[in-house]
Amino acid sequence: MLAGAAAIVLARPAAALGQRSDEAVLVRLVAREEAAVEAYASEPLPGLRADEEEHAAALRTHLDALGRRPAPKGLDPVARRVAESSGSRQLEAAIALEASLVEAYSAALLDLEAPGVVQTAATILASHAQHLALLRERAGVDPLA
Amino acid sequence: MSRRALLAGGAVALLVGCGEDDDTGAPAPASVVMAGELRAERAFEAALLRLSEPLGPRLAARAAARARTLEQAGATADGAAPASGAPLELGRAVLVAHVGALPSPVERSLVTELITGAATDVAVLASALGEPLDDPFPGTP
Repeated sequence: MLAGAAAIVLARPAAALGQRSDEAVLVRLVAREEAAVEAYASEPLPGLRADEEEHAAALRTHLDALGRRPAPKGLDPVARRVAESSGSRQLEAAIALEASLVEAYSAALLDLEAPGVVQTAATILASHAQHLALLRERAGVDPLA
Repeated sequence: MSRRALLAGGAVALLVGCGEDDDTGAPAPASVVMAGELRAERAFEAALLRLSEPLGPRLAARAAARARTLEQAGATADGAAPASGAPLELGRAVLVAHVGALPSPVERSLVTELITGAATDVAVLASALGEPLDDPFPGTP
């Protein structure tokens, strides 16, 4: 019984720690997605902006459930390159942006704990991998290389 | 209920089913989850081999490589009949299997790599077939 009580006492801080960790990761991911929405004002590929809006909204819903609202962050440097370029330069910048998002979600998935958040992040990782493939194809780069 | 609400509610795990034990709701053993992933990749590979060169065999080789990665990580075929269907449909099923594996004890870095590779292949295949990719959450059942 004592062991059970001790397990409960120990589990609570661990759960709280996991929630705080998820919050921190989600705040970063929402900021990245919102920056991507802003960056894709003139879409290098149809549908990209709408997808990023959906991603940001889904992640914000998770944050809301944790009682946390992310502060607006604006463009990060990778997204800014997309926003401030056009034509083939914009395509290159968008490829770099999507590659960085694939990296960000791959890293985040190692840290996230809540199963629902993990699953959402996994589907968004898949979406960014698909964006990256299609942008590379558009740029004449082999997406499978 | 919207897809976003489903995702936010964590309902994907319930819908996928392969990440949780049906009776207890506890995460399914890694061996069971990985068997499902392996079966999905093998079915995708078989369907891709029926497509014309060069893309079909190239994508099939990538699916086979992912299947080998799963086998090296301990996955074994579970004897269930492989799914049949159109390659794109089977590619999407691969993504569902990999995403559904994540609440289980399967190593996350491995699943992350599998998701990235399979998602890339589904995008390339859809593009070659002239099919639109209009799902912001690929891997959702």
